[in-house]
Amino acid sequence: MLCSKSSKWLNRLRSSRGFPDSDNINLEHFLSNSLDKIDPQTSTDPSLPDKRPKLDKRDDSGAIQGREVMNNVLSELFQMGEFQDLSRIKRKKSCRKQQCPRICIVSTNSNVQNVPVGKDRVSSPPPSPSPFPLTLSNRRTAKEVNRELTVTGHVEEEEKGHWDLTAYSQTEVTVIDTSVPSWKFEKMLYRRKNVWKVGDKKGKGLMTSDRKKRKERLNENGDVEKKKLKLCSSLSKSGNAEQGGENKKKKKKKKKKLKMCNSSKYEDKEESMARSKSPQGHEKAKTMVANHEKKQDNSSHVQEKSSFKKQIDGGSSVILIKSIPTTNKKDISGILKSCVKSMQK
Amino acid sequence: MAPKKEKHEFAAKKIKMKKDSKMKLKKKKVPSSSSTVAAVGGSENRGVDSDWWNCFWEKNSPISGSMVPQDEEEGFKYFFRLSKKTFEYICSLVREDLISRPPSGLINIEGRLLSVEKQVAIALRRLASGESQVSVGASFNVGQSTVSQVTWRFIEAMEERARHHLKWPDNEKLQKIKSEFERSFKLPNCCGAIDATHIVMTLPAVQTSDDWCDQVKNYSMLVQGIVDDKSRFLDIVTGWPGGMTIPKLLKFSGFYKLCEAGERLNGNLKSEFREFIVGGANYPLLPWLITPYNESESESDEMSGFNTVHEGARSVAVRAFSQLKGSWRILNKVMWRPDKKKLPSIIVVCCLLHNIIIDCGDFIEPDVSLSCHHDSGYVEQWCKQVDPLGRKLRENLVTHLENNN
Repeated sequence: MLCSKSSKWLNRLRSSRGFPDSDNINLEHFLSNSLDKIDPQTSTDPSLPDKRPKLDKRDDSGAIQGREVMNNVLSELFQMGEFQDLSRIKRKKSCRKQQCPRICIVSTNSNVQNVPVGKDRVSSPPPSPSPFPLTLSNRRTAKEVNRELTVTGHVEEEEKGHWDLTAYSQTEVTVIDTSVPSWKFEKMLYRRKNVWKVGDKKGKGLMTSDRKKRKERLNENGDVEKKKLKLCSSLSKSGNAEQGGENKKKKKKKKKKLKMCNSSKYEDKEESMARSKSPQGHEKAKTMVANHEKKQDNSSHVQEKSSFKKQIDGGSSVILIKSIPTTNKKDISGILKSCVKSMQK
Repeated sequence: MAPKKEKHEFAAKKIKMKKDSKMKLKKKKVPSSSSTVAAVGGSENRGVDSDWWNCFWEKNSPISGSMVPQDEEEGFKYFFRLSKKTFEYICSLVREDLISRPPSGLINIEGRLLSVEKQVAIALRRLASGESQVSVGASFNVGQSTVSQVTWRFIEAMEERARHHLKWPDNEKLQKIKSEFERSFKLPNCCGAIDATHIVMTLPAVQTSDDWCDQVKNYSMLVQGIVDDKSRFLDIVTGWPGGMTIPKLLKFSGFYKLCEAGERLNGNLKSEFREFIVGGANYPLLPWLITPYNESESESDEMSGFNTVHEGARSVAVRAFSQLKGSWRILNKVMWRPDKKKLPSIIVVCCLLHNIIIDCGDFIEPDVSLSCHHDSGYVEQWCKQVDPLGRKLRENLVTHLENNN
């Protein structure tokens, strides 16, 4: 309890706060009196409650309102009894949380509508995260479905562009559709409440499935090579600066990529580098370049790249690369130049 | 998928090892020559094939009070939903697939290798009855694992070999269908009826997406079918989760895309009645998909008259699904945690079998069909999406029906 014993300091405190000095004060008494004396505008202690507001004592409407709010909040929190102006709290609550979030789905097309046939039954679209309020009328259900269908049209537009997948649940589906020539296909289904979108499982699956699966799939389709080639070609554009300052290990790693590189520009440099390192490998490298260029003229198939890769692996070029001294950018560019000159000769 | 396959192979090996020992013991009783022929041969295994039926019939012969017909022919149809002739045709379809992969692990208790006929019978019985693999296996004297493997092999083979029984009809066949619809329902250029149903299943609590949870809180997979005047499936879409609405299911279908692109139902586009199909109130009214008038809309007699005719035409689709779920009870029972990648194949094979029965001149017994609606428990949601061209066609049809009465 607040206090049973009176003391001077307590009395001083009371008086400083504008409370009575009497010793027989209890909680009820305290609460009933204290709030009346608090000016809501100046009070620094908002926690002081009053479960029985004495409206007659105050003419200031603002103060009354403030007290009501406080009463109501405290009454609701501690179940202190009846509280006034129930609607105010309700209104406040409803502001915090939507009663039916689905209604917020933006409708764009008024033509598309849906109404339940079974008038006596409320059939909400099923997998809502929270149960549908029982108070909803059939009319409301119809509205919802309208929106759902409206969204359908909208979705199809969205499907073409980019959409944020993080907000969508994902489900892998295997569909058989006899109107599709292959009959069976796998899709990734994205769902956010009543919005359904279909994505290609192959692309999305790469992000979600484990590496093994990914490797298997890609090896079957030969997409791995293609992707690496793409990567290389993009590398080649900014590759000049990277070449010089790298150490051997990095070069080795890079070389692996280079072997499969689609960019002739990059490959030329690689060849020229190789040739400049050792006169022994020069001849082999020459033939290699000739071979490769021939192949490139015909077509730039992945298989050819891999045969080229084999040639490099099997040939002396590996040894040649090993013999490259760790030089800086300038050195390499010098070597390249000299190589070009020697080629011209 | 890969680890699962390994599991299967492992299981098969296990069975082989177990059964091998039994085979050695029982070989004395059963003449081995006939069993070898049964495993390898084709048409010359008739003796053995009838042997499986005799054993099965003996084991499952009608007892007093049972539903099983006394007549053997009728009994065959009762268990497998089709006549012996159709059964032979189905065997011929899948024989190559079932023989080309010798069922090394699939040896029944008596030590014989399974003939193609017995494999087909096991699979058909599993699909037709929807009973557990254990009880189906017991009726054939094989184990649960055998039933599982045989059924899946059969489904894979059928999916590949029987495709020609389910395709959109060519012009000639379409003309016949249209004339039949016109004759029966006075609807000109009607090419079929569309409907959809839920295949209910249980799913593990963990890793189950809410997408599969439908409007009545069942986990289900949707099947949409377009059927002709004989309740024969012309188009099937399945695999989409039960949480999806019917209009959405339609929009995700290849049929919808083809129709919208003008590549299907594109006959007589400029005439008063273009080609169309009829669908329930849960489908949108489109230029090529005609739905009934809403009850509140159908104020005039003409409109309610049209609704009656429309319902009659649409009922061929409802009947098809009732027959499908009634014949192949596996679709009507709550499937216990099916592989969602395999379930569409099971559904489609049941649809193929449904069509084969019709194509082979068999008929589905009336008592086989479901007595209730195929999608009982589900509320049909009225789709108010209306396309002006669809509305116009519907009005034309109303006028046409009025003039012809």
